[in-house]
Amino acid sequence: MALRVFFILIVFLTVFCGFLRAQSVAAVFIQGNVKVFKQGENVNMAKALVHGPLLPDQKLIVAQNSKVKLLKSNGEVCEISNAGTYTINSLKFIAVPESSIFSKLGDYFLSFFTSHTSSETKENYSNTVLAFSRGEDAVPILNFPMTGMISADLTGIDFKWTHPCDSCNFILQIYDFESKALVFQSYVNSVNYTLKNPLKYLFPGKKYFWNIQLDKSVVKSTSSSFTVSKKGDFNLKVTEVENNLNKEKLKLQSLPHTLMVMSALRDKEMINYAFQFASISKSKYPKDKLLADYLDKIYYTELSNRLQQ
Amino acid sequence: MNQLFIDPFSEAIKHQDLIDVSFSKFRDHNDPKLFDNRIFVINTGITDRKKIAKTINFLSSRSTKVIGVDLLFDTLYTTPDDTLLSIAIANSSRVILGFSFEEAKMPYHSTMEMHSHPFFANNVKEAYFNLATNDGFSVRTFEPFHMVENTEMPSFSTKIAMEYEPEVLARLKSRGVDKEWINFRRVQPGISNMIFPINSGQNSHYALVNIDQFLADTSAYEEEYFKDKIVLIGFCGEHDGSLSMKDRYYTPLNERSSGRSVPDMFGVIIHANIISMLLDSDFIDDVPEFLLYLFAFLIFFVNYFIFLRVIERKFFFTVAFIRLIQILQFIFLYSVCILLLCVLNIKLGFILIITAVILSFELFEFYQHRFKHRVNKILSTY
Repeated sequence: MALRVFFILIVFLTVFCGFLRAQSVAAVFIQGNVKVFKQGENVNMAKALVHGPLLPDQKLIVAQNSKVKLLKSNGEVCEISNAGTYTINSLKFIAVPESSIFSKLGDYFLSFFTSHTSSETKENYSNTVLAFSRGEDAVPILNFPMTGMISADLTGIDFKWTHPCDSCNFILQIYDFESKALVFQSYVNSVNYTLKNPLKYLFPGKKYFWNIQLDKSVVKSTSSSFTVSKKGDFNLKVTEVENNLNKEKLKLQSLPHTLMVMSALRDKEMINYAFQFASISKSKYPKDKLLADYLDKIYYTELSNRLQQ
Repeated sequence: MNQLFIDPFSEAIKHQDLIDVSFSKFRDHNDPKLFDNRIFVINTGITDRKKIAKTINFLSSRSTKVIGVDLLFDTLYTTPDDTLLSIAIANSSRVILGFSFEEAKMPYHSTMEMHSHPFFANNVKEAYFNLATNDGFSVRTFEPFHMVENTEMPSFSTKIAMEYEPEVLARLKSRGVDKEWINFRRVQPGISNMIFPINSGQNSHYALVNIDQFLADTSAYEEEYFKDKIVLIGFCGEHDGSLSMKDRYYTPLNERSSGRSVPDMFGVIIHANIISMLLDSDFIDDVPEFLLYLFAFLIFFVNYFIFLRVIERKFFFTVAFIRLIQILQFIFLYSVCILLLCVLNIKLGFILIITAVILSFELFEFYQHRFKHRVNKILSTY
């Protein structure tokens, strides 16, 4: 009997201590494509990770350019930014610097002895109050990329918009269409921005939406979506069109050649490809002013037509 | 040098300054002489460029001396209103527009940040709107001149005052002060602002009229009314009854000088206060730092003999009596600082002085028990 009681006590203590030792883990920050599934489950069953508690036996699939931050109940933190599959209980959590009330008090009193200017002097007054009014801000209008397929194979993707303000700054934001997660953000002081090395942020075959917000304002443009085409698709489509033109055995100069390729791409409902090709042609023939003017005219006519629609 | 133990507390209360208490609680805002007849303020509310153009045209025709436009026209809508405004500004040599700059630390120069579109600002006098703060929302100082992109530019109010009275430039330059304390005397006018903690005394120190009412009543103003006046066109609320928080800041005139309050003054009225101050040469002078240290030393010196006498006479409750003396000294010095500021426009740094009062007894005891015999020993050798 005594042996049985002793055995029960041992089991109880083991379970109780184990329970005490277990630290609950929660996802507190998710950026990009992060999925979760239980150990032993099929990977295809993985669901999008949401903020909140996680079980120790769960696994995370972190996609490229994605980030996740996990927090233990004792304050330890684990940040994953490299793509891969991770099991929760095998992750390394790092203790954050002491932030108890006592350490904060210590830091505060130590700060007494650091050098700082008196609040009574004018030295620490800076000219940051802008005492003027400027009326309501106009909404930016998105120009390019237009809705549809766009190639990320080129050195960069141009983002263009229109806004009548002469001294405004803007925030360009690109979101994943499905998860609505922010994948790219940049502060811009003009009405265009070239996203260099786009494949660092965007995945071929995925749909995204973008918008422009006025800096220091709540005014935001409407959103426009685009899909990043698969690698090589742009070249394939352009070569296809050019081959068809070659079959006609026409000796075309730069302007008619560009126009015919653009026209064929437009007919295939690849408007972004058409303007990307126009941009390549302009950089290929930098001295051809006629070509540049004509292509600009086509671009503005397209924008004007879209605005009227 | 750090004022070790008092300074953290001053940091904690840096949203306040002696100026706040002095101006809001001890200055008489009911004096009818405070009404500044030189400045007329037009509240644009939510308006359009056509009305602003009409206002400028009318004021120009009435020989207004300066028209300060506290608005930024950085957006060109390419509408007929834009053209009307551009023509109105171009046809009036009295208009002053503004821009903002982003302050850079030396050795870099500050750069122009926001400015009106060249369609409006071409060949127009411009000055910067920036005001100085130590917490982002309380305005107590301004810089009359600032180097913006390698050129010395005047502030909006300095430029207006200089246009009105060219001697202002010489007066400012002769002072040799980079930043000036704003000597706020005139409260925010307007019906919706006549409440605590903005203007519970219900005073109007500037004529303030809504743009619609102004344009409707132009014939009511006498022919000479605007002659040689400064007219400021700016935002003072969407309409007469609204308590708008746009372009509104905390100033030392806020009647609630500690704790949570509402911003009490629109930017355009702050500019008006600065203009009044510049035209009246009503500057606030700082007491030099070396005088403050000298004064603090004097407090130590005087208190040493007071404490010595109190201890020699062995008063009952000696320490309590000394603390009472310190409290009385605190009240006296605080009153002196307020009086100097309110009456003589002299800003005496209070923190260093009060540090001297608080620490004087501790230093006295330290000297008496740990240091005096050593000093005596050294002195006896000579």
